[in-house]
Amino acid sequence: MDNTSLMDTLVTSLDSPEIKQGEKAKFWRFLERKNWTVYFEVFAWSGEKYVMEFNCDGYISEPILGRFVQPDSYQCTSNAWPCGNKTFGNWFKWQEQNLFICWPADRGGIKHHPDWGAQKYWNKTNNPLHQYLEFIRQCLNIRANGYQPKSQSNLVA
Amino acid sequence: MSDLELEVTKANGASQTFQIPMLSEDTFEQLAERIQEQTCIDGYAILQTTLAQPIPDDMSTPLGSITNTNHKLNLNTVCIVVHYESETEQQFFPKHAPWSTVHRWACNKFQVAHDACANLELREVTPTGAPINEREKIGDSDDCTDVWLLKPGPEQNG
Repeated sequence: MDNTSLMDTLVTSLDSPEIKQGEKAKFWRFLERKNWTVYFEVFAWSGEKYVMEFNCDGYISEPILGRFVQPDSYQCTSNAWPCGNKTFGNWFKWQEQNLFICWPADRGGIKHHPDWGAQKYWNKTNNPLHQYLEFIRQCLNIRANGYQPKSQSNLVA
Repeated sequence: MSDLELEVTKANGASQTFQIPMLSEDTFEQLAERIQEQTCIDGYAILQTTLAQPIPDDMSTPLGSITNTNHKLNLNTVCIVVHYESETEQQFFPKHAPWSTVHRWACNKFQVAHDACANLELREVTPTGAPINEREKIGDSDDCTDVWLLKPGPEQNG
């Protein structure tokens, strides 16, 4: 697929009923797309919200690189990341020098675990962006996954 | 401590008033059970709507001197049918209650252990239906609403 087709696929994913459904249910909210990079707000069970940057370069054929970023500057810093218990920490690496998401469909996760690449886990569904948002939804909303609210400052009104 | 007066309106428009005694020596759990027995509506959900303060995690806490209680309340209720594995149960909830109260009630009803309950989520209509945001209010419905309480598939990590 050429770049135009890949971009069309990304735009189709963004406009898909399943992503709209998650937005309607207030699990996430689309903010903007800058070329291959898209930004969403994602919400936790406690009402806290975070901003995620999804680098979708090579969408479908390559995994997405997901990161939490500051809401105003889109800078990826440790305090923009959600925290939690040991279970949560198995997926989310929020230490300043080592910020990445340890999941087989994330480009950063695959960089740390090269053996994951062969699984092509990001192609488990035909909508990798929705697959990623669903993963984040489960981590932030299912209590057993260990997310812990860190402050009252970014509660959703 | 004065009685709790509840005017309950069901989806079909039928309305009924309940006078529920509140004693300071009651525990939150006892009051929730009394509400449930008299109204057939989830007592925890009603307390959550009635009390201006959060319900303590330990429901055996005495009501004591709870403040800012709304002693007279008009409640519109909706019927929810919860499916869990091969079982099904029906209950009425205030339409303004969050879906998390349905999750909590269902775990009690189906005797799901606390740890296992934290692993479950609610889905609309069928086991593969859209996930329900438990922070959101249940909302209006003329008919009973079917939801499923289930465990999502595991996600791998390093």
